[in-house]
Amino acid sequence: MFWIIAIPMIISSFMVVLSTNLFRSALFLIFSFIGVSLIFILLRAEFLAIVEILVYVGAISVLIIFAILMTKNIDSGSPSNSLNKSSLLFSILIFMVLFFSFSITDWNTIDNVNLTNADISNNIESIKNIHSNSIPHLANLLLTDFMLAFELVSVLLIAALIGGLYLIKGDDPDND
Amino acid sequence: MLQNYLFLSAVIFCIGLYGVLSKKNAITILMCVELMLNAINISAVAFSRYIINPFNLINGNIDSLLTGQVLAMFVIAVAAAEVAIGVAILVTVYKNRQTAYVTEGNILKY
Repeated sequence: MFWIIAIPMIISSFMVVLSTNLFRSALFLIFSFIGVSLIFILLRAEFLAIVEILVYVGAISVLIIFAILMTKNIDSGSPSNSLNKSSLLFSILIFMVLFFSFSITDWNTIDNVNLTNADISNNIESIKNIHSNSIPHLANLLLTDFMLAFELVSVLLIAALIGGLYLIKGDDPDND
Repeated sequence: MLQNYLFLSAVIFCIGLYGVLSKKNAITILMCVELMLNAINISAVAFSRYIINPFNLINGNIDSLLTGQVLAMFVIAVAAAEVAIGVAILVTVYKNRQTAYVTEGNILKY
């Protein structure tokens, strides 16, 4: 099930970079976002999957398509700059490093970690079941431990809204 | 299986990295930045699904198992702000210089 989702996702991510039409690459980007949302459902993060559909597929891709339609020469795609070969080599190198470090690390996964500590073994069932009912725990975490970051993100969104409006508004010659 | 998700995340991150480093059009660069942030989200949620740190669970604070999902939510919010500002800058540059290529925006070069 994982590879059924992952392989089209990788292919559409490649097509975002390699497509010769900007509009088509935006559509492939939407496919990739939907794939990420399905991966979140596989990882038992249903709330994040819905948020992903709402924010990415609903808002960000629409913004990007607006930006594509406002600029000319869509059909010429995005040509490569002079760093094409070296950036390909660099990203392959980064991929090798990531792949080897992911492969050789001995992860503390939920199956092979030692949970026999006396304090933990009492609520081992609730540890195993936390992902089946995650939204109340997520809300609790967001409004207690991460309260400050939550407020800062709201300030950031307001600042982005005001900044975007100011940038788009331009110079009004009657108002000077 | 944790390694599968991390592998997928690494592949998508490197595709986005290649696009960011090698493309001329600013819209494609924005799209590739979105791909990279999505790869980070996948790996954060996969870690929060599979990894357990027993030292954090001594107090019975099992909510801390979901920290990766909270991180992914913050990343989504920051990505929304980033793409809004990016598109606004792109439209402003396009109004002034009639190009969306980042290689032609070098008026400060000389």
